[in-house]
Amino acid sequence: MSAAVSKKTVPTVGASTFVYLVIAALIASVPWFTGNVFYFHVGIMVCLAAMATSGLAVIAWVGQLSLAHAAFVGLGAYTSVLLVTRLGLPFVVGLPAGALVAGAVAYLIGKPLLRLRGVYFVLITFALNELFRLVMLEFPGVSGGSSGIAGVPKIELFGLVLAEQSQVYVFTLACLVAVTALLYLIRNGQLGRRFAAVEENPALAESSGTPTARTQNLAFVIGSSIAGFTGAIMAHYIGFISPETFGFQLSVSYVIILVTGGRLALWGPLVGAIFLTPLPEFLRGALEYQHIIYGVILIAVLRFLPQGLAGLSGQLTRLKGDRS
Amino acid sequence: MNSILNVEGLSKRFGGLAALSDVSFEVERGHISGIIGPNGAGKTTCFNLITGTLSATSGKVVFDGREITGLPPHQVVERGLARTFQAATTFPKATVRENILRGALLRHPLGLGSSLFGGAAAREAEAAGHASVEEVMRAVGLTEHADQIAGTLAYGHQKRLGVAIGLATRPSLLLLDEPAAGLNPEEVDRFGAILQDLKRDFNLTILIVEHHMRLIMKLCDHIVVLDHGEKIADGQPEDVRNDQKVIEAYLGAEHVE
Repeated sequence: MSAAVSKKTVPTVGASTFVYLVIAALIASVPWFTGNVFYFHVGIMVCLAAMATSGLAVIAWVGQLSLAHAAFVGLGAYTSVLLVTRLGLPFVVGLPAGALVAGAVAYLIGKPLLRLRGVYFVLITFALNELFRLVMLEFPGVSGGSSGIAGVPKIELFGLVLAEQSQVYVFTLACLVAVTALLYLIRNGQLGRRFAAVEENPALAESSGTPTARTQNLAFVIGSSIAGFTGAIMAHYIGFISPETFGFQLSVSYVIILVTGGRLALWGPLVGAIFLTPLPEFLRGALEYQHIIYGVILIAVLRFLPQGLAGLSGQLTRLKGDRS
Repeated sequence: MNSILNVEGLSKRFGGLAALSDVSFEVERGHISGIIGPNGAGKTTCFNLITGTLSATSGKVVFDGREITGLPPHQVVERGLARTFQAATTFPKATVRENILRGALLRHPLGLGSSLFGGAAAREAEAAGHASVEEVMRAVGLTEHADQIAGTLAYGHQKRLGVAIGLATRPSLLLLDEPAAGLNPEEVDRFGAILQDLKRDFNLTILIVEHHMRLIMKLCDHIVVLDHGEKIADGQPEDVRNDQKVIEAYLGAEHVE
């Protein structure tokens, strides 16, 4: 028995992972079945939301909840847009630069910030997101002020301009796969083991040799870089950014996606984004009820699915097990 | 005397409250030493100062000939001084095996690259870690619970798992904070026997904070008694047992048979 278990040291792709992959591939191909531009747009928004939320998930894996995530998406967006429009650099430079700047800022502020835990960290990041918005409004020469920057050039990969929605969709889908693969690698390696240790019992993690401060800062840098990466793509797809785009509401919506999908599950951000991102697009006619619907979903998930939608299958198996 | 740990004039003040004042003692290599004292005597504070969880107001901690005062806990454990906690002794959401593996990481660390992308170094570290886990699990008698989630274990087993995590970091000195608290008499006896086996098999020195007098008197070669943050006695179990100050402060009428 123990010999059989210890053979499983190298992480393998289990049957359930395979099922998830097939389901994900099916959902991903929906826009092609319809052939409708609108569905491609929704698909792009789902990918972007899932990517940004993946960054937030990495931070959640070490037990911290950031309400400044939209600000890091904004940092990436502004970095890329400014490099492309002011310096005439190509998007393929702006995109990694966006991730790099967001990660660097996270590294610098992470050390003092992550001394705070729980609700205090949530509060300081809330203030930080507001600070980002106000600073950007204060320097209209850089940020375009409250009128923002319009006419951001489209995504261009080595001379190929992604003018069609379907092309952008393929690109964001590929980026999402890459980000999800990164999360998978983190989770199944030693790093994920350290992250989980810090999340579950920071004092014990520290006392058994994991430098908790450095580990949390690393997660914060990785998560924020992913946010910046997403922001750059978002800016060049939508074509318009302003400080208000990256306000508190966007941060909250990422938190809602994460909690709904499953805070600690690998597939949480994706499941949450698939479930929640299309909602406002389809609820255009009932705009005033949108926030009520979000609220109800969040309460229902917290009450009945504390592990999120991604934890649903596990919860069902356990129920079945209890009955038999 | 061949001491592995020297505590010299250790003090900790929280504002106006002196949690620990000028405490000095030595722990001899290969011994099981105990720290006892009534609630609030400063025993856990003493542990927290030694392991770097709290920083001392004054005083010095020397481990294995090198000063470790002011080092963060993850560096203290790297030097070979591990500890367990009174409550919250485990990683509650992970399996027993995973819990111990997280302690074993310390001796099989990986860089960022090989942690993410695997390779020979990662496989080797992983295998060495797992081998170490199996050994520790056998030693504390948790092998049959290897795949159980730590939070669902019986309380006694959780306590033992706490010790196992510390053991997996391969310490030369193991600090145990009330390992027998909440155990029933049979479990306490069993635990005492396990500790003696561990000491022998893992070549350990053990320093233990405990309220359970029978266990302490039976296990320990040397006992330090704290009261109101001060050391009031220090010696072999018989000496401490008969010390007038100790009887007054701690053992009280209960012990006068």
